[in-house]
Amino acid sequence: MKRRRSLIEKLVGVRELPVIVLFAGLFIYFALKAPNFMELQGLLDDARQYAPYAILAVGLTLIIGSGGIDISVGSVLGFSTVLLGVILSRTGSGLALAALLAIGAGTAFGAFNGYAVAYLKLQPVVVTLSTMAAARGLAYVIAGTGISSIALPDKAGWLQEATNSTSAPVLLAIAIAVAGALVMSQSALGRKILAIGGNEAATRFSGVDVQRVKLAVYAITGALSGIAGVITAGMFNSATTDAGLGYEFEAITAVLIGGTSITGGEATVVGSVFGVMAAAVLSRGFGLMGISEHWRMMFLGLILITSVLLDRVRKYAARRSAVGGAGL
Amino acid sequence: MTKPHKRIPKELPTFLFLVALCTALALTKHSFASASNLRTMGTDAAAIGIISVGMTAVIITSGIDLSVAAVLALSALVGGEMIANGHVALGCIAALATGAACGLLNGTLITIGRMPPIIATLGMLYVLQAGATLYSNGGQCVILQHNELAFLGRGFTPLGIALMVFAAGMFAMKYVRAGRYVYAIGGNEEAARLAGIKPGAVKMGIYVLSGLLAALAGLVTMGINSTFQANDVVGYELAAIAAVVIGGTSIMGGEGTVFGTLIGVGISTVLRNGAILIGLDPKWTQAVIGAAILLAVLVDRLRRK
Amino acid sequence: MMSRRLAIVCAVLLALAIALAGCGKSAEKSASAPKGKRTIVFVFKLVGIPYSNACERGAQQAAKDLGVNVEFTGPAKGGDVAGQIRIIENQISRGVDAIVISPNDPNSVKPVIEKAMKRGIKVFTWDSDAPDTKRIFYVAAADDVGIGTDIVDKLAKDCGGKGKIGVMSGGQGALNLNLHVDGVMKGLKKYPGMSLAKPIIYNNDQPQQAQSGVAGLLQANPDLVGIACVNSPGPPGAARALVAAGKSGKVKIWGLSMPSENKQYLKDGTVNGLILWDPAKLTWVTAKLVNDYLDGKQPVDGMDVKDVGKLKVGKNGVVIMPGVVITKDNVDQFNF
Repeated sequence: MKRRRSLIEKLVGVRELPVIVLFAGLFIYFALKAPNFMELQGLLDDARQYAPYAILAVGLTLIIGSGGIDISVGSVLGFSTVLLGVILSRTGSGLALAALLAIGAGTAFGAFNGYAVAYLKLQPVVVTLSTMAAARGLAYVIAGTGISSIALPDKAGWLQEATNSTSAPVLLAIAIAVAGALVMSQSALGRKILAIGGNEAATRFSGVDVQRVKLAVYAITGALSGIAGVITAGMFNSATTDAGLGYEFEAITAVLIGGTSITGGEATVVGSVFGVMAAAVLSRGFGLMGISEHWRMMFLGLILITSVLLDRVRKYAARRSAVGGAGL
Repeated sequence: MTKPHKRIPKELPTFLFLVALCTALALTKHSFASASNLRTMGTDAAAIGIISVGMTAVIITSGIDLSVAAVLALSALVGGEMIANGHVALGCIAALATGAACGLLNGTLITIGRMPPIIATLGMLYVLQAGATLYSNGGQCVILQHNELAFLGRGFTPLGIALMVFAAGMFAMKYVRAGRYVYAIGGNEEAARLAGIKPGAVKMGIYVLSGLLAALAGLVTMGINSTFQANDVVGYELAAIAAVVIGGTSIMGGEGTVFGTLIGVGISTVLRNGAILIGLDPKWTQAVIGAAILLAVLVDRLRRK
Repeated sequence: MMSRRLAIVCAVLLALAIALAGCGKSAEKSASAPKGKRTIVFVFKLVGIPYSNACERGAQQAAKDLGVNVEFTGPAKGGDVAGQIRIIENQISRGVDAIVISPNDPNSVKPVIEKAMKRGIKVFTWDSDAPDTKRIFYVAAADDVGIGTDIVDKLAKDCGGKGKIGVMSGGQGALNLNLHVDGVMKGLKKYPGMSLAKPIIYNNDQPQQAQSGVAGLLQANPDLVGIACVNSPGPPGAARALVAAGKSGKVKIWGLSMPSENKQYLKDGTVNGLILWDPAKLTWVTAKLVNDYLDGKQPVDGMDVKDVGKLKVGKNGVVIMPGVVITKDNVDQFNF
């Protein structure tokens, strides 16, 4: 017999609802209060700037859903950016090959993370902490001493054009998000990821190759970091050695605001995307209203704390009504 | 009858690594082992070392505190302002109180709010870092014109204070009941609760302690520099976590020692100092640090097998 | 499950589309900047440090003196290229009259500068340049490379042109600091009797790293005669290291730093001198020149600005205002 759902549970029962409400609320507030907020070109530019974060957030959703975490995504993005710049400016290779290698490098870092987590059974936070330092370090190494920025040569013109003047990055981010959402909700891989995040031991006993799945999610995220790195190089017109610095915390914040549970087993790519969109809207709104960046960061922190507290309320309510319904 | 197989003490591999590192450096550069270099390393390690002790306890309870650097900054600025205006004792108390209050907030979110520690402290990191900048009028420096806290920062004092904190931590975790509770909660919280331990109270205490130690580290920092600015300690939380992890404490909780963290802090400090002594090209520093963390964790994994 | 979520998402997007259609028109009518008043926005590399606060003071003073709206902003984190681009795009959306940038990375602002100029917004740079872009002119108090050479010249004079010196910078990824270091290296070549003690210390803008780095350098090079610092935490950190090692006064320190952070060390001789400029004055002068340009007046070589001095206007729109050398003799007259 289906148990009755309490009022609280009905309100916040849908995992993505809080972040969608947050996004809509912020959007409407700024549409009314922030001058020129609704200017279409401006909104599109804002979306474009946040595309790399959205791409990272998709990968992180999968990883966090499996019960892991990856704080190296920003550094891997940075390495990919620098690798692209180095290959384009110091060798004769064309854009396509350079981009492929950059994405390949990202995948390699991801695969390394995955291997260490899945097969060497090291803790994700620790492995990715070391990769975070190593990838950033290697970016400095291949750039060379005293080089902080490599201008992209003309053969990268197509990339710069695509990332700066068109909505290609946004469309790409949406495509990746749709793919991620479909994987998580419709595919066997998605089911396995959530099963592992929910109860790894039980999942292993039921015959699932946990190690392969874990390797896959980290490798996928590495590839996505590489893609985000290529896009960033195009948007910045250059490969900067500090590219991606701090992106991991912004992306993880968006994923958590979006409703994915940090303990694993419950994930929503749609929520993560809305989380990034909420951050984008906040940035544009505050910027147009002239509110300082410090207040924006503080606000972001408060939103994170509140949205996760809300998630706890939801779980608490669900547990209470379950107990109540069973007549205990 | 076969002799029982003696378990390798968990800190041995990392301790040996530290010894090997120091020996290699001392042989290559004699000045490494000088008193003045020891003082340099001690001053370098003091603040991170102090917060690492609190971080160890937090991580053993399977938690984490990403906000320590921001707590340090806010406490230092609050106390520093008073000290600069002539109220040294009051300023120190204010700093410690700020640290404890921030820790209390973290603890409340985690115990009563039932928030996962990584999220609660990440959110607090954003809030407190922005708060510290806004509090100091957009990031202005606090300058102690008369070096009022120099008694904390002179000579070997920072190292001495840090070592005392480590000693207290080691003692507390082993011989004080609350210390053993920390391990129990980290190992199996439900079992601990059933055994009569109050996990909520212990956790709350641990996060308050973490905040207090962050504030102490802030006072020592101001003692060394006679100045403080909101961005001075950005990234210290990751350095503390790295030290704890290199020292053999598991992020999963339930095991680990403060002594291990001491070795971890030692390894990172020696690496930083050694890199400069041997003239290592700076472009390699980050990569070396990443490799060091990985190596330490791999060694620890092998030890467990 | 999926269909319910999909339905909710679609409903929200529909609501937004309606809001878009409805609010779009009304918001665009509202003023982007205070009605009628000219708006100049300074976008710095970051906000929340003493240097940026000093610049902001200059901007606020300019607003008062010129009677126009002058704003100051920037990302909250250092080295945030993406954040700075976002902020500039917001200003373009607002439709301000002029944007003045000190770019974290000169290449990355090229597209946004073009976009702004296309919309009729005038773009300038100050403090750090983006030379390969459409910016109208650049105002600075020094050449990024030249100032490094100047520091070495001062250091060489105090060291008698002989000996080993150390160099300290901030972050390896900071372009302007790397240019200063290039200048230091160039300057060193002029003094065959002087050499570089390796490694170059990177203090990552942290006082502790500055102190420990120099202490380590001293340990490895007991014959060090001088230290050249190219970022603000450098000279005080180096000074602390010297004091702890008992070498105050024996090793010379010259650097780019704010006098307020070095007062005690300048006075007791641990730091020999600083080369800088008043960030507030620099920002004020820039605001004035930008305001004049919006009125149709170009900066003229040799023009005299009250309280500042004569401006040099060179090729490629580079405007140089006089900098200052700060020593124990004049440190008290500066308020930054």
